Amino acid sequence: MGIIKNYIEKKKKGMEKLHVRKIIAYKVSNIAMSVFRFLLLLGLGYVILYPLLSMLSYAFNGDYLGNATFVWIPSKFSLTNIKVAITYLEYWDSLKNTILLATVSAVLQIFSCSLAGYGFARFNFKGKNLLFLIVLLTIIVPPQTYIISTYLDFRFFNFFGIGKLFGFKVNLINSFWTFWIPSIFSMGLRSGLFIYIFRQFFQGLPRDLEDAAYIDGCGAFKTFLQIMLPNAASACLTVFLFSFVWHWNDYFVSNMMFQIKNEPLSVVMFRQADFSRGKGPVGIDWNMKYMLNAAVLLNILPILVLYVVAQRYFIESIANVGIKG
Amino acid sequence: MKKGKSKLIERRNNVGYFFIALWIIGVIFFFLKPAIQTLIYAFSDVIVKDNMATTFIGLENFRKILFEDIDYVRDLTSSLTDMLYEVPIIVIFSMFIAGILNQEFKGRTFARVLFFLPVIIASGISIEILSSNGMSTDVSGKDTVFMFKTVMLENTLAEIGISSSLVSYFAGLINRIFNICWKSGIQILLFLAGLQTVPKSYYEVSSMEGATAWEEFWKITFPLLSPYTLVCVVYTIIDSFTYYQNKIMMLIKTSYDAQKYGYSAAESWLYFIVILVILLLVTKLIFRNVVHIDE
Repeated sequence: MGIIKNYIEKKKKGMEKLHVRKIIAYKVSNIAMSVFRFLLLLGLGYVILYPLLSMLSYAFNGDYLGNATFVWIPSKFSLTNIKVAITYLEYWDSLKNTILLATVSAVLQIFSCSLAGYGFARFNFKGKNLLFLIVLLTIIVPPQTYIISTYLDFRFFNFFGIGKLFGFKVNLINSFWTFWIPSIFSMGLRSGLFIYIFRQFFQGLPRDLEDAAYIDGCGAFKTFLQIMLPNAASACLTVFLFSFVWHWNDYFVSNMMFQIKNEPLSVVMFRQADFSRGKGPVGIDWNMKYMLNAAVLLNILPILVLYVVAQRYFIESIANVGIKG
Repeated sequence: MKKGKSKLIERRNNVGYFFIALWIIGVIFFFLKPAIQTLIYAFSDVIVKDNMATTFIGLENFRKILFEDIDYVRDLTSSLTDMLYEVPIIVIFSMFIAGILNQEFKGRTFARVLFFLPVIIASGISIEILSSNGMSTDVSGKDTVFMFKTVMLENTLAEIGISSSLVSYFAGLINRIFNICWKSGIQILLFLAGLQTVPKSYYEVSSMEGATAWEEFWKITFPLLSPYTLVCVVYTIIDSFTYYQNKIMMLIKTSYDAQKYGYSAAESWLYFIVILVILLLVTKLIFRNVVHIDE
């Protein structure tokens, strides 16, 4: 008996030792992992933050000659750059334009794309697959390919040919309608992607929801508006955020559509950036690098604020929507 | 009885047309019509007056692009090779970062906020100006050098005796780290979403069976992420092709600004066909290996 007991004791101790060793190894590898992770994130974080930090540094710097002893913190703090940038960007006007353009377009896109996405997700009408293929095609084909024709359509806009009967046409260039009209018909900026997002989302919702509504005698549209859309709040938020940001940052289409007035920030800024390459009006004290950085700061500040406030939704958004190949 | 039921279903399905009615109008007037019109321009000589006057000239525009234009073919091949180089790196990088950001650690939220920052800034003109902040003129004063460049490291590695092709690949990787970080925001987001769909129980079972983290990655995570990988690859390719600072995009814009509408239409159509072929090839290649567990 004693021998066996002894043996068991011994074995237990051995096991414990092994256990302790394993725990230590586990802990060491854990610490190594977090150190590695920390260093990696620090390094890459620096790469990402570098341009933003240097932007701040330039924007508030009043020492244009450049002082080699100061790298990050400006030796002479000044708001001149910001003030000059506000003047040349016509900041408050362009900001108003940008916000108006982006918000209305985003809301219209939510409306039209959710309708189309729901149609593609729940109804098996004839030609559905072919039509959805066209949706995918609209994602792939860059607007650059057909923008010329769209531009002319808006230059001589006649309500899809209806106006032609009465010899009627308007010039919509330089107005927000160049963005709003395509958004209403879910062909706005990256609308294809949003239709795809909504379709994925609606496909993931249980059918019982609608069946209950149908049994209660709701029509398809009423079901959509009262049952499905409220349930799709997270998808709507995703689409709103992305649409807003992409409209804010869009430069190519806006540059084409806005030439004289109502320009959003990105267009004005691009022209100022062009000025700095020597095309600008003579005699303006546009101290290039400093002012440009101040202008960029003014441009991204609103979306940066939006991002910080809504970052939780940004990050969770895609997960909620469940995009998949 | 049965017939009546199927008719009811058909009628209900046809309601779908009402839902996509707006889209159908949109796609006809803002996609198909413009696309066909530019296709016509591509085969014509376009003269701008009150309206566009077109004269059919057949393949003349395409012939000029392919055989007379010195820039087009060269820029196309260079942006293709750039893409071949960058897309795999961006996808692997973002998968890796998503893996890290999916772990539990202090400051995770902050790290996530940081890595998604490019999503909201990188698509605009701002980043163009911002990234030029990192530029500085080198000693000779001729070339502009980007600050995240690795001349020293290259020399050191070469002196140690590592083969030059490996060194240049490695250096190329590091030289692009800025671009890669700033271009993979959405991709990280997608992979992170993908990682959240992998059931935790799979890992519990595999660790009970004694699988290492390495095996877990290749046998569980990687296959289950494959649908997301497909989306990521496609997104990255489209993104790099339609990026407005892309050389071809600049070319198209230049001809457009010079009012050579027919020529620029031909340029963009040629470009689009190349994109489409590449996308089809890639999708076909990856789609065969995509794993679907649900359904």
